[in-house]
Amino acid sequence: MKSDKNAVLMESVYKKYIGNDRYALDNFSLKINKGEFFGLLGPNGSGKSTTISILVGLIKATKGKTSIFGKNAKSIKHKIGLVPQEVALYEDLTLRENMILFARLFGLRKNELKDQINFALSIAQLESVSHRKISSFSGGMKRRANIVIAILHKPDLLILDEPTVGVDPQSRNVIFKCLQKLNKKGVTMLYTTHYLEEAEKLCSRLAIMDMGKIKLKGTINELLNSGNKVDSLGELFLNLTGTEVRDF
Amino acid sequence: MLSFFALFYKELCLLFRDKFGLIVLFIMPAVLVVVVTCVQNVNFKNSKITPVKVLFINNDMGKIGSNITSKLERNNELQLVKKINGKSISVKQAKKLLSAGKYHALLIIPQNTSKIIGNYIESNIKGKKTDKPDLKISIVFDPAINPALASTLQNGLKLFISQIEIHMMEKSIQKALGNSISDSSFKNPSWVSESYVRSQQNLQRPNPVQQNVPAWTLFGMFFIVVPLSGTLIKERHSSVMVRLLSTPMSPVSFLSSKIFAYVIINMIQLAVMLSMGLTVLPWLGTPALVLSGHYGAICIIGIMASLAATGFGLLVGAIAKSFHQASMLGPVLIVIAAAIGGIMVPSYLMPPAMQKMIYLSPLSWGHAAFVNVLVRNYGVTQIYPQLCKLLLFFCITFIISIICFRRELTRQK
Repeated sequence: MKSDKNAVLMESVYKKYIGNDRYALDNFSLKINKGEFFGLLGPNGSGKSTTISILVGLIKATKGKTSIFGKNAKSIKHKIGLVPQEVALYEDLTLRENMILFARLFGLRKNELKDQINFALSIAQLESVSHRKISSFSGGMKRRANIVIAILHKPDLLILDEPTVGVDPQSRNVIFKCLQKLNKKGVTMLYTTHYLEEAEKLCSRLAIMDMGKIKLKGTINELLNSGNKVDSLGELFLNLTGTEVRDF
Repeated sequence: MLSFFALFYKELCLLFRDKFGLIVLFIMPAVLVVVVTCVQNVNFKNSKITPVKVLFINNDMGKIGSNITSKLERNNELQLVKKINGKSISVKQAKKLLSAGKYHALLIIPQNTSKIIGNYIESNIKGKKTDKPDLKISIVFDPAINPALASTLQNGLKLFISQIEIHMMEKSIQKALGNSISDSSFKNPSWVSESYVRSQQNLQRPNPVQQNVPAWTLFGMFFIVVPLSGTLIKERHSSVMVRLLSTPMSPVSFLSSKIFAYVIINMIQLAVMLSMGLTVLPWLGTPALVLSGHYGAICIIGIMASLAATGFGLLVGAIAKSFHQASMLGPVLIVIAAAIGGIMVPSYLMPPAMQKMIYLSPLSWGHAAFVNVLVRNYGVTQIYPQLCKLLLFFCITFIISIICFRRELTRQK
C-alpha cells in the first residue's frame, strides 16, 4: 500500500477562505516519505501555513484528499508534533508546568511523562531552566522551549513552522542538532522556513511553493539542475517566486 | 479526564499568579462590603435609635401646649429642647440654630392655642356656625433632614393634636349631654397591630449586613469576568490555542476546565465574604450576618451564580476582539447589571420604569435568592425561579460562547 511508506500525502487539495477570492491552496499535491527531512519553502502568503493547518486538522480543505500515515489527521493527533510559528507557551507557567500540561493532554502519565520531560529538556539543553517561568526566557530559549513541547509525546511526524525566526546562532545550532537527532531516530520532519541556507543544511528534499501551488520539488541537486540555470538555491527561489515584495 | 485535570490545574496556576486578578476578585468586594455596610449601618442606626433633636417653643399656657409637651417628652425617638443655657429660645435664635444644622426641627405652639381650639370645638358642638380660627402650629425643618424623617415627624405631630382635639370634643360632648355617656365610650382602641411576616421564629430583621454582604459578594463573583475573559483572549490570540487544538484535547474539556476552576474560585469568594459578615463586620460595630443554618441553599445559590458569572465571562472572552476590549467591556457590563439589579441602590428607591429593568440583571436574580433565604427564611424549593433563571443564563451564554469560539477558530489561518 502506498500509504505505508508515505508520512504525508496531499492530493489535489484546494483551500479558499471565506471572503477571499483567491485560492490559498490551488490543486496542491505533496508527498513526504517516512523518515524524510522535507523542507517547504515559499514567500509570505504562498500557502505554507495553510498547508500546515490542514495537516494538523485545524482547518478543512475546500476540496481534495489529505492523509497522514494513511489516516485522517484528526484521528492520529498523537502522532503529530507541531511547532507553531510563534512561541506557543503559557508565559506565566514555568517550562516544566507547560511541559506537564501538554504531555498530559497527549495522555502521558507517571514514569513515561517524567522520562519524556527529561529527554526533551536534555536534547534542547534546557534542564537548568525548567523551573523558570517562560516570561523570564530569552528569545532563543523560548524557541527551544517551543520545540521541546512538540516532541514530548514522541511524535512520528514533526511539523515545524519557521522555528528559528529571531534566534541567535548558538540556539539555532542547538535546534539543528536536536532536529537532526530526532530525524535520525526516525521522526519525519516537515520544515518550513525563509532561511534557504537552513533548508540546504537540514533537508533531504525540498519543495518551493507559491500562490498555493508547488513550483518545484526534489533534492537540492535536482532543484539546482532543473534547467533554471542558477548557481544557488536563493537564486532559484527568486526565479520561481519573483522579486516583488509580497504584502498579504 | 486526564486532560480535564491538566487544564483545570493550569487555570488555577494562571489565576493564582495573576495578582491584579486576585485583587479584583477578593480585595475589591471585601472593601466594598465593609465600606458600604458600615456607612449604611450608621444611617440605619440614625433612623432607628439616635433621637431626633427638636427645638420646642410653647407659647400656649393651656392644656394643648402642656399635653403636646408631655407626649413629645415621653417619645424616646425625640429629644425635646425647650431651653438653651437655661434660657427660653426665641424664634429667631431657633431658626439660626436650625439653619446651622444643629437641630432637626423647630416646633412652635402659638399663644392661646388651647383657648382658640377649645372655643371653636364648643361652638361647633352647640351648633353655632363659627369660622375656622386663624391658628397655625408650625413646624420648621432643617433643610438637610431626611424627607422620610420629616414626614414621620409631621404626621406624628398631627396625630398628637388630633388626639387632643378628640379628647377636648369628648369633654365638651359629655358636658353638653350630662353624664349619660361614660368615659370608656371615647377610649380610642388601637386597631392596628404591627409585625413582620416570618416563616419561622427567631429570625433577624433585615439590616444593612443582610442586604450588603450577599449583594457585594455577587458583585465580586461576577468580576471573574475580567481574568476569565482575559486568559481566554490571550489564548485565542496567541499560538497557544493552535497548539492546544493540535492535541487530542476536546473543546468541551477545555471550556469545562475553565468553568470548574472559576466556580471553585467563586465559592472561595463566597466563603470569604460570608465569613467577613460573620466575624469582621460585627467587630466594626455592625450586626453580624445571620445565616440561620441555610448552608445548603447558600451553596446552591453560590454555584448557580458562579455558573452565570463564568458563562458571562466566556461570552465576553469569545466576543471581545482584544484583551483591552474585554477588560473594558466586562467590568462596565457588571457595573450596569449591578446598578439596575438593585445591588448599588435598593430597588425601592428606583423610579417605577427602572424597577421593571431589575429583572433583566442576573445579579438581581442571585440577590433576590439570597434575600429570600437570609431574610424571608425560604428553602431551596421556594427560590427555584431565581435558580432556574441563573442556570438558563449560564446555558445561553455558554452556547453562544461555543458558537462564537468555533467561528473564531475556523477563521484562524
